[in-house]
Amino acid sequence: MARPRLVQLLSILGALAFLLALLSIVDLLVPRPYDGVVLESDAPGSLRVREVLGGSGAERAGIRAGDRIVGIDRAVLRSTGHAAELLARRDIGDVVPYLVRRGPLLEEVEVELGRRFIGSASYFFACLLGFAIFGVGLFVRSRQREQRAAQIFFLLSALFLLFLVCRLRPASYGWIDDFVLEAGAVALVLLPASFLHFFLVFPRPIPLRPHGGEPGYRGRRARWLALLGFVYFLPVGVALVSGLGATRGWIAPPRLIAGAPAASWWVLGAYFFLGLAVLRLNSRRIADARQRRGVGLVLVGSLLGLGPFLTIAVARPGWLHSDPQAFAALVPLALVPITFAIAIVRFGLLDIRVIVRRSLFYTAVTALIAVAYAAALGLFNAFAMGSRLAASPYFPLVLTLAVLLLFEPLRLRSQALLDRFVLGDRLRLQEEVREMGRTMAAQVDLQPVVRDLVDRLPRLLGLHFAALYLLRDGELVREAGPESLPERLPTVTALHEALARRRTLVPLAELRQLGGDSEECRRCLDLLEGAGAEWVTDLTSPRRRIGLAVLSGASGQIALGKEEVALLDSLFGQAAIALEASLLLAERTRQAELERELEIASAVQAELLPRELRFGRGWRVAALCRPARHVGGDFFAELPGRNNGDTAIVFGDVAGKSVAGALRMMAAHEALQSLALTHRDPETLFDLANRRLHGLGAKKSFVALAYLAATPDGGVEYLVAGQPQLLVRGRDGSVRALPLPTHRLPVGSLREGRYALSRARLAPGELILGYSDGVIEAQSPTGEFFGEERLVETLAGASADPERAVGVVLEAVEEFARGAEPYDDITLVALARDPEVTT
Amino acid sequence: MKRTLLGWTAAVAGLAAVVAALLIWSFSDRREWTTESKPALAAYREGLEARMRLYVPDAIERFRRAVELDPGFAAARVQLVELSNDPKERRAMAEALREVDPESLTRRERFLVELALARAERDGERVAATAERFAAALPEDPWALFVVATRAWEAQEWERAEQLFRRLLQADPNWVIARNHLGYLAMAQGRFADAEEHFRTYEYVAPDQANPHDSLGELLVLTGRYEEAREELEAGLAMRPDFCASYRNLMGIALFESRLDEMERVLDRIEAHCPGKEAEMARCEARLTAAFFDRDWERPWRENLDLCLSAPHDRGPLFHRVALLAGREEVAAAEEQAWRELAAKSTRYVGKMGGPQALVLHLEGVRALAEGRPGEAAEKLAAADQRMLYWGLGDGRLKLFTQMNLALALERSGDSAGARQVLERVRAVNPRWVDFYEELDERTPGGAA
Repeated sequence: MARPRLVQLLSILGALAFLLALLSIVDLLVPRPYDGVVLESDAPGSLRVREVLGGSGAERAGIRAGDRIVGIDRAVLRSTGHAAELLARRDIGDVVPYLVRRGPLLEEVEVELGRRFIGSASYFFACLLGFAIFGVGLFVRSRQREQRAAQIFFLLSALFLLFLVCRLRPASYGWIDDFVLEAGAVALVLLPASFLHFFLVFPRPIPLRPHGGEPGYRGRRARWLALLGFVYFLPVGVALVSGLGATRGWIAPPRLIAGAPAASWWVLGAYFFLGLAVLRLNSRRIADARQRRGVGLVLVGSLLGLGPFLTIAVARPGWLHSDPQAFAALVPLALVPITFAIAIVRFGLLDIRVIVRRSLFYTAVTALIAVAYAAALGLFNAFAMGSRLAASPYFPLVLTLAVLLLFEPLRLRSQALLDRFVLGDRLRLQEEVREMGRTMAAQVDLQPVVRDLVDRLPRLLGLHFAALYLLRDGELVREAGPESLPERLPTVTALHEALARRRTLVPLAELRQLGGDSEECRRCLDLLEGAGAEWVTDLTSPRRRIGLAVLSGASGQIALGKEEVALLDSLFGQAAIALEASLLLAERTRQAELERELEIASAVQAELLPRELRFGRGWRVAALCRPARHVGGDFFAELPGRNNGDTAIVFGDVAGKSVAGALRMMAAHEALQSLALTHRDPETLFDLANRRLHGLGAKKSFVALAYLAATPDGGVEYLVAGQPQLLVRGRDGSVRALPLPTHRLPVGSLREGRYALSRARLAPGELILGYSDGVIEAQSPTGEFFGEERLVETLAGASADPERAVGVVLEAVEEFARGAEPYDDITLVALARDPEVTT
Repeated sequence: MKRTLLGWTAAVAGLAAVVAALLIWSFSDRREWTTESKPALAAYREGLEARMRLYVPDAIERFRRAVELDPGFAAARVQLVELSNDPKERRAMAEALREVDPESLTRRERFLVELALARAERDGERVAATAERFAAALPEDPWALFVVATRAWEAQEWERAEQLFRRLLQADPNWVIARNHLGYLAMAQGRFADAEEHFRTYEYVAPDQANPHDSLGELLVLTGRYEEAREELEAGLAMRPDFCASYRNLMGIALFESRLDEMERVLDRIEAHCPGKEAEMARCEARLTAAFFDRDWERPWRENLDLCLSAPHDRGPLFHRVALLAGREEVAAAEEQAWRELAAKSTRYVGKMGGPQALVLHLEGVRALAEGRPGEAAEKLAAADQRMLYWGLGDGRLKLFTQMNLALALERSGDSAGARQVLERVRAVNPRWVDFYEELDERTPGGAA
């Protein structure tokens, strides 16, 4: 991690270098009176002529390379700035006296001033190169602000820019010239050190073992500082010593190459080879083959790019000053930015992920080929000019046809070639992702889909991880993914709505803005971000929401560009469908199993109900229990009566339905049966049952019970705890309700229950109907309840025979419901006194 | 994010402040001379340029204009105290300078005012002390250097003068007086290429002045480049026909080439443009030279040249030689005695004309030759040569002449190789005049004649 102050300092240095380079170029192009003299940049302040521009006033006046400009316009020059000041007083077209030294002689000549335009083709090529290198450096810095190697690379690129633009510029008059040239010379002195520094930390810092006994970090840090201090001090020291020594006369003035002492160039050469050697050694430690290839490319590019330049600069420094030779030195240098750019784009060098827009890439290739064609055509035209071929009227036609015929095939071939070279990895990856999508779509099993998404996809994309959350019971539960991710995620409506609207992979940072600023949303995103997640997408099939896919950032492979995101969207769409299919299948399987189990449970429950009820002599009994689902919470049972041989009937309705209700029903049934064996008094029985059932299971674990037993006088004694009021049908069909006791709370609803037994006399031919609330709460398709009134009416119209009465009531309820799914279990118990029996 | 933004803003603001400060500094008219009037300052600067280029009348005009525009402009008044040819004006300017508050001036101006007042009051010691303090306080100031260098020159402290004038040129290379003096100092030491460079640069800076043409012409005459010298001298005379020194240099060409007819034509021009004592002296010298060339040893006395060449400086060594050749021992001895007395008075061993001591040695050498003691003559002449300098055409010619006599003395003493070596030295300076050596023997006492 680079310290913020260093980062800022480098940014300022970069900005200054860029401004200086701009200043250098702008200064060259500003129109002003000019004699056509290009000064020797290697002898600053000497005003020695390096070359004279063709057709200029200086050339016409006979000024030659090697001359020295001593005076302009009757003033002896103090500096190039003084010369610029003197020329600025004159106009273009003025004839100005110059004093020129040629060898030992001074000569006065008349120079006509023209318009200033300096800058050779090789210099502008150097500028292009400088800005290209700086552009790569700036890009690297913008993408990897914190990485030390990226910072040093930026410094290196800024120094290259200064050297190429400022130092290699044609020198002219003016303080800007001196300033810019000096800045370029300083850059050259610093260039070797930053070059070596870069290769010491690229792609990873070389390991410097701490001294024994020293704490590791401090020891390493001290060694690094010492090493870098030496690396930077050596070339600066060499330059200072040669400059100072020459000024003081201790040594002969050093030979300057591009403004820097030749010794600096030797240091540059030494550092260059040392740096490449370090890079070579460093590359052995890189495990990732792809990164190794990138480093190899940089090594080759640096060697072939800088090698010839250094050789020419040291062996033939004069070449840097004349156009064709300067090109020979500068052209290979173009390999440096090109190889770095390719290494970054193709191999993710410096952990930089680049999104190459293919359309832009293809346009650039087409434009390049078009330019190449134009150049070739120009050359061919120039070559054929004056020949009989060119004189032919068919020549342009044939040429145009040839271009048209050749252009497209060449473009396609070049494009394919470049595709393979630059985008090869990307294309292969895209094909693999597509293939994964196809495989997923054919899956009906959950686990292979999960494995593909969570294991294979990160490997392909070079992600740190991928995770899958599935929606279960309204919660997002981590199905697969690293443990660092939360096991469950809260369902934040705003977030899910935002994701559903986007229907694409969304970067987490963007999701923060989309999801609103609720605390819950922030917490959810913080959890994901804390675990290293960077991208999120909603998994939704056309029918239902499936869950959430979470992706981390990439670890140096292919960046998630627009094309990759589109591809992944399609993949996640296919995954959602595959997941839905597999989930549905799993659910159906589970449901089928459950249904079978319920059927068994229903049978078991049915077995609990007595097939035949006995109530005492002179009594006919009928009972019916119909669960709303497979199993229910209603029951009826025959219990031992108060006296030996007597029987009593209880019917109950536990809170809850289906399986839960059934289990509670079984518990209540078992409790009553077991307690009744020892406690025949109904009030005691209910008290004990209340204690047993209170607190059993969850809340609302109570049971509505009713107890009926015959009395010796032909009446009944009854106890109602939570059940509806018992109805009595008289012989004339009238219906009345038996009075309810004061305390009639369901059994188990309170810790202490005080249940009181009631008695009622029944005339022969009369019928008592007990029922659960499922009867009166049965609903018609329109939502209307069956209700007590309708029950009374039905009972009034029913027979006095318990069997038939129960049948009539059930029929009436079913007719009322007209096939609608029953809301609750239904229990009916009917008792009738035989008419012949007399008391 | 905020911190980064703050850091960047601070950095950019800092950079902008530095750039603004640099721009203000570079474009501001830093106070060098104290005046509130821009036209006065412009006129003053033009005056300085003119003074630097020795366009004195022009400079005086500009300084007067500057004072008109700003009567409180002390520096302009200083210049007029030093340059004005009107004593009244000089006094008035000095009076005004006494009223100036020194606190309102720059350090340089305070020194210049002090110097000007000391000069106006003809207080030599104060002038010297102020100049030294000026140079000590502002060692690289061109005006301080100019003052002390000029004083060193006037005091014939040649080494110091040369050093100071060089520093002055480093500070400002357009001080033509420094070019002129350095040119002569270089010529005196036989560094003719350096001298030529200084004179040519002077000529380039002040092309409409006769002086650089004359100085360069003098150098070219001495070094045997007569055609170029003639061109330069004529160019100077075309600008200033009354520049008498150039006629003397033209005469010098005629003398080197032994062309009496040309000498006569130059004499006519001298009489036309430099009448009076100058012309008379030139005529006398020409007659003496003609007598020497014609080997008419008695002519100077026949024509009473000893009367018109009354001082030893005017007569020179040629008169002594002709006297010896004419057998006028007492005249030659008197001449030697006169120079010995001059040498005794002079404490310096170098100076114009190589110093009287050098001339005494030359005369004694010639006498030794005349008396047949060539070995002693060679010693004396070698010592004279050592003391002599190529200081202008007169001194330079005398040094060359001394060397040719030394060669002759060596020849007569049997050291032909030594003679050839000496002649080679002469040839290196003036390859054309060395041919005169063939005629020297018969014009030297004690020889074949």
